Amino acid sequence: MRAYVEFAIKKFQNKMTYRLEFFMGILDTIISLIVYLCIYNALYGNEASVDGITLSMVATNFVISLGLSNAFHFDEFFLEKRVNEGSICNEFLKPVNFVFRMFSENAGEGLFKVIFNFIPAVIFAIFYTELCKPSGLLNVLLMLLSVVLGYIILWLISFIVQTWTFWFLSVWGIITIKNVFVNILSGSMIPIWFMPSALRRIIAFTPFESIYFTPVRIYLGELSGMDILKGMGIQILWILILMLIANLFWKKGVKKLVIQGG
Amino acid sequence: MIVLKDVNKEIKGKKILRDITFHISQNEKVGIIGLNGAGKTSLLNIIAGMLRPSSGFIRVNGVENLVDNREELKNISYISGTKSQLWEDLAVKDSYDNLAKMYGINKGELKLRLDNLSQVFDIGNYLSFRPKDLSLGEKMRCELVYGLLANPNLLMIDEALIGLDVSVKHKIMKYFESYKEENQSTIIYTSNNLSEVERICNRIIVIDKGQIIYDGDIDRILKEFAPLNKVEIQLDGSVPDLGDLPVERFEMDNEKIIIEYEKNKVDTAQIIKHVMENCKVYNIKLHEPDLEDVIKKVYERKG
Repeated sequence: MRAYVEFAIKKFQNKMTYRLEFFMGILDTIISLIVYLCIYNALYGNEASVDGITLSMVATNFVISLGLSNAFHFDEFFLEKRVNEGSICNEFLKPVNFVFRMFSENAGEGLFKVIFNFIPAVIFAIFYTELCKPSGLLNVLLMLLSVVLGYIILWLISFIVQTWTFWFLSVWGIITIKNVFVNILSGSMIPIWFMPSALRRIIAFTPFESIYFTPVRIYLGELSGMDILKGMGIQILWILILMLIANLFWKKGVKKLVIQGG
Repeated sequence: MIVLKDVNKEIKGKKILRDITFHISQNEKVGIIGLNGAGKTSLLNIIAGMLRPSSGFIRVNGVENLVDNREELKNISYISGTKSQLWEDLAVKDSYDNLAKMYGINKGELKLRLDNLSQVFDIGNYLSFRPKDLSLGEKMRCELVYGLLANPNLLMIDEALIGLDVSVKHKIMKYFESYKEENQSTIIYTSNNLSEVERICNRIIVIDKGQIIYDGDIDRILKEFAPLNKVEIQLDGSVPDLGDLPVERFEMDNEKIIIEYEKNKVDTAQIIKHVMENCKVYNIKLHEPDLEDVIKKVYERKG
């Protein structure tokens, strides 16, 4: 376990060395927040709420989902690079589980960006616009837990797509398409409240809603009591399903690698 | 310690390895030599478990599938001249710290080993650099230290000295020569250079087109199959008489003479001295015996 924590810490430290990237990251998040908030400000006009959703709820949704999606952005070519270089085989000789190691590195980067990118953006947003207050301390704590689950879902989706690198030379295109799906369907571009109800019903059957929207709803108090447990239960269910799929692709890919060579 | 029996490997219809069978015991220093594409790296990858054979049996340190056994992996190290193990965008020292955590080496022990190794490979000054800011030779030395830090009992080295300059090579060779005497661990060393292998190993496996064509003592191969040394001397007019010298063959025309000889019968210096005493010499060119000749000879002997 310590070895994996060490991978996360090393990646965390590594990120510290790129100061420009770090400032640009904050700037990027803040600019996108301003753009989205301006658009919704104009759309709302003088309306207090649309479909029962107030402007400050929308703003809160964007701060959490857009802010986190920027913070959770990691190197999605981790696997492709190692497979194409052939160095993946040597990685297998390290006495650690490669997948856990990869997750640890990505999570270390994510944690770094949450602290140095997401939190400054939240602070900026508090002064810039009106946000909803959390419905309680417990909700904030549960939201944090839900955010972690959401991250794992996001990571697993990316990992599954990355494993296709064992069959395709380049996964750039697939990853780009995947990201469009994730960005739109997870509500980090259009709040899920405003999706057409037919689409919303479909999204409810995908893991995308569990990434950011569940934490947002817990924070806002839209989910309470048993509904919080249900929301998080669905997140855990998705994690299990995605882990099964990921495991399947990973095992098949590695098998192909040891049979056909790197 | 390492057992391979009837190992065959075929990738996409191409036969990479055929009927490889050998046994390497603890502390043996084995050189695997062969020309480019002979299957050296594939063989090493198969031993490490990174490539699965199409048929045959492999056991390393009592384990049949090395890559799946994390405890056993702590005892082996694979150093490759082409695939980096260091963390690309972190300081070299950080990669070592990370390795210590993976292999469960405590801080005091790490410092002890690192102090020793960084002295041997003279990398003390590079520890705070990132690998991408180092030259090829500097980086390769850091890679070697990475591979040695875990104190493996099986060390696989795949063409790790390619592209390094003579002085660096010498330093590294010297270190591995000390391994040969102190008998610390098993080494499998692949190369296409006979003289490198000669210094590090006492057993040699020659592979050609995926097959073992020689497996045995290094001294024997040098004695029986060692190719002839060759010296090319450019002359001015007069031609020497080589009558008394025990050379194997010579060719001459009015400008130069090419002499082929066996090193254990006659010294290079003796030949040059003889020629220089008798004629006017412009230029002398020495040819190291090369692997291709050895392989040819082994084939000839086999009939």
